[in-house]
Amino acid sequence: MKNLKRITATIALLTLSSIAVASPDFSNHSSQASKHSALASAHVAVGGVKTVASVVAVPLIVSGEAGKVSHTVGTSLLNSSKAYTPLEITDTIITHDPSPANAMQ
Amino acid sequence: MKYFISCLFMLICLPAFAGSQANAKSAYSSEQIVKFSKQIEKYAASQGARAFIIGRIGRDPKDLPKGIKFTHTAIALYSQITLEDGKKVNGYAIHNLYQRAGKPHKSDLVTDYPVDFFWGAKRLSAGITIPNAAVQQRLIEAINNGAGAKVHNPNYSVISNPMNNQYQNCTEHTLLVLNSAIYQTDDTKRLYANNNQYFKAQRVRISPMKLLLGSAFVKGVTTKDHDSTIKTATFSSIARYLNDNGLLHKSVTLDINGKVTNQI
Repeated sequence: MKNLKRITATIALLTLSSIAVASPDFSNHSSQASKHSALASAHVAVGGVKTVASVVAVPLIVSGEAGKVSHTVGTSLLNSSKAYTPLEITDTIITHDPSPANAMQ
Repeated sequence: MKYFISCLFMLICLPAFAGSQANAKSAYSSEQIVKFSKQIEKYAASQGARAFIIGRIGRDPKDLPKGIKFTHTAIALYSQITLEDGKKVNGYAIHNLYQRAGKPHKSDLVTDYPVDFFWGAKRLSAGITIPNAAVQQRLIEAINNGAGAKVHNPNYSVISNPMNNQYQNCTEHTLLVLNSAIYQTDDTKRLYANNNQYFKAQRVRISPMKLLLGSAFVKGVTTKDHDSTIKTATFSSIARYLNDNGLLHKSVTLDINGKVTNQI
């Protein structure tokens, strides 16, 4: 009985450890690589729209006023008739850049 | 034998903790994710949302504790995005807190885009909470002024307590950035005091045994920052918080078939 307890406890610990390691699907270089390669081929089936990596994103308060988020300019959104008007969205599929390791492949 | 069976039972019932992983393996085809991501962007744009809170389902919903619908929450800002070819386009950039690869008890701040965000989704259904215009404006200002980094605590727990600064998860970080915008401060003592005063966290109903096992064996899961009752910030509790304070424009879920369901 003592041996059975010991074996069971060992199995439990080993299984728990493997679950702890395996359960979260963390970001890593290989999964990033698979995402980027998958996306590279995705555009063929998505209306021919290209997949493009971004360089920088600047928040827009009012369309066409990139980066102007000071209080003075920002108040234009407050009480503005433009507050909930539809916005333009690109059809380009944007993704963030791959890791340096993948960029060198 | 009883001992053996109870051990097996505990293993089977291990908590399905959901974290904030970047680039988890996809459960859908690239085409589905791309189409869904654009659908989300276009819906938010049709509502004129310049800043909104976005939620993702990163676990099978049947494995989630009662009351928790989304496993990852972040803030999306309507942005002018410069592409690698120099072209400038308009779309949403998403400001996230993600668990660190290989160190799930730590987190990093990452800006990505809808396709990246939904890559690890287990269900292509998104939560979209749009604050009113005044809050949206302050959110944009706060993020542009670095509030995300100023309120970030890299010590990660998936069920972090939003009433103190011991650990932080993606949703608690979202709440802090939101309140940093509302109160126009990055003083975390003040922000946590206000969380205690005004924010109603979601109770996490998981058996004590599961929590014990999770906190003992899964990095990124701890109950050290909680008292007897486990409560955490969720996408839905943030939507209710905005609604309770008259700061909500709308909160919906949007699924892969384009069906929009009001959350509140």
